[in-house]
Amino acid sequence: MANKMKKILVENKKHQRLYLPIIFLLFLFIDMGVVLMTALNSNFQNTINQPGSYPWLQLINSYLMAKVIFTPTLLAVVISRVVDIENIGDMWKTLKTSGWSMEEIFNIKFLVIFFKYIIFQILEGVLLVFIGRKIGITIPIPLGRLIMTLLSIIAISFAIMAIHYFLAMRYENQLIGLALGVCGSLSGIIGTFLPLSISRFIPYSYYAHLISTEFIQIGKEQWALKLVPLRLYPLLVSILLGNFVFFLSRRKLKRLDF
Amino acid sequence: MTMIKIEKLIKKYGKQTVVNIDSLQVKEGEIYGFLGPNGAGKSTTMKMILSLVTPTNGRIQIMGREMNDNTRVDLLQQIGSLIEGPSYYSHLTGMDNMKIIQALKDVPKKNIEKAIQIVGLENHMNKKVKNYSLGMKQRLGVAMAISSFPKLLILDEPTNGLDPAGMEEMRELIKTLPKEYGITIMISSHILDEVEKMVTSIGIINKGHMIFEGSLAEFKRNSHPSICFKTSNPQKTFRLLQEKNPEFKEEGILLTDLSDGEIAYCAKKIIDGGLDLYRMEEKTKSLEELFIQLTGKKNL
Repeated sequence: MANKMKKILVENKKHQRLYLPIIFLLFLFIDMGVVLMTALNSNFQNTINQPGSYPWLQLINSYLMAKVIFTPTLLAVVISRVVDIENIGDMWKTLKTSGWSMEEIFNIKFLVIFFKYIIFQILEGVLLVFIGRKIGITIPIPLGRLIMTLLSIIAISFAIMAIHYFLAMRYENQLIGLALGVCGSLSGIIGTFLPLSISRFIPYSYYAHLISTEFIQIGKEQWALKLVPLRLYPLLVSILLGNFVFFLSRRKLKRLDF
Repeated sequence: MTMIKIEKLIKKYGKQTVVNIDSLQVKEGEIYGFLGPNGAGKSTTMKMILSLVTPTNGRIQIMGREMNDNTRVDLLQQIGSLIEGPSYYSHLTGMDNMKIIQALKDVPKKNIEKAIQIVGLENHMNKKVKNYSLGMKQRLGVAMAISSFPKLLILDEPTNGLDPAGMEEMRELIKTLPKEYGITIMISSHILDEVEKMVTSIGIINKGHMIFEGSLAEFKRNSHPSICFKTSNPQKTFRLLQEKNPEFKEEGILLTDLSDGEIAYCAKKIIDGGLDLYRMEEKTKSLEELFIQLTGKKNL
């Protein structure tokens, strides 16, 4: 355990001067900027405490749209940064000849960056609540739904990170992963306009599948917000997919010679 | 003690066999020169010794213990290495890099300070490694490799990319390590003149096969020194010594594989033939010439 902890600290030390906090902060501002666009909208503010307006869920929805657009790029960037530092100076050899197994390198590198992502995710959740309170939402927070949404976001991000992690480890050219990140964002956005039966096959669009309200037509030019039951498959499928990709790529990379 | 012992080591990539070594031995306290032309299999062999590449077949023993999954971590802790150029985190300073190595290899701080001092990088440790010159990176790589003051140090072409002064410095540094710190060194190079100045024994590999292994002196004994005769009439000298298979060279007439008696006989024949004998010189082949003779490669 102490040995593992030491290795985690070593991995963390390598992240110095990689400007990861700045990258996370930048995406945090972008995500919260999208939330603020909804929060500061006058139509939204006029109805926030009216019955059936679901203000918290509307804020979460705008946050989820920001996640669809920006998170794949964030994940591709941070993953490529932490893998590329080993590629640039060819540190894989030193790690391996220092007694690390490829399996350990693979696990610890992922663990450390994923942990940092979780902190970022929790921080965004807290800020979301803070913004809601600041604009005057007085109705209670749907805590269960919020927690399930955040857990699902973490699970989806885990799956996407695992895909990008494999690409970054397998191919020295980091543009491959970064390009996929951008394509992932685009396919996620496109996925939101596709029928659910199709977009279920696009993990990058799963953030949008967590959206908890939809507009239904109740009369001529009359619309009302309808609560959608929380979808559990993004959480479950992402956990399965993430684990599958993670363990498969670890097995594949284990056999790689240097 | 034998520090490295290799038996019937084979590495194949697909159908191509890149290494096929029957035997290789590095003894304690030696500086073992592992020589061969580019693509001969030097780096692959070294990588197999370090478990960076999995052998297709064969045995590798380090300090009397078989290298396998159970012993790998323990054995690697006693080996320092620099393979195919230095490794480093370019976004970090030299000192940050050394601190990471300190944590990775679990070595005391004083070792790190000593290693930095040995390679002479004390004044550059706060600079980011991406701003280092190639020579400085190479020295940092050596500092990392020796930071645990290992029993065995494996260096793959450590002078690659260095200028002549840098090469000389590196050579002097390598020579001091066995004497002062009891480190056994296996060093590969294709710059043969350079290796000649520091190694105690050598192994020559060509197309994946070992074609010579032994002491440097033993290797040179096989060199059969030549004698060059400089006379007043080279053409006539050539005719007079025809039976000894002479070679016509710019500096005189060259004869190889002569015993002392044969040298005296040739000298007498030249003088008796009415020629003036100006000079008789023994020409020893350099390691490089012998290497070319063995491997048949000039483009080293």
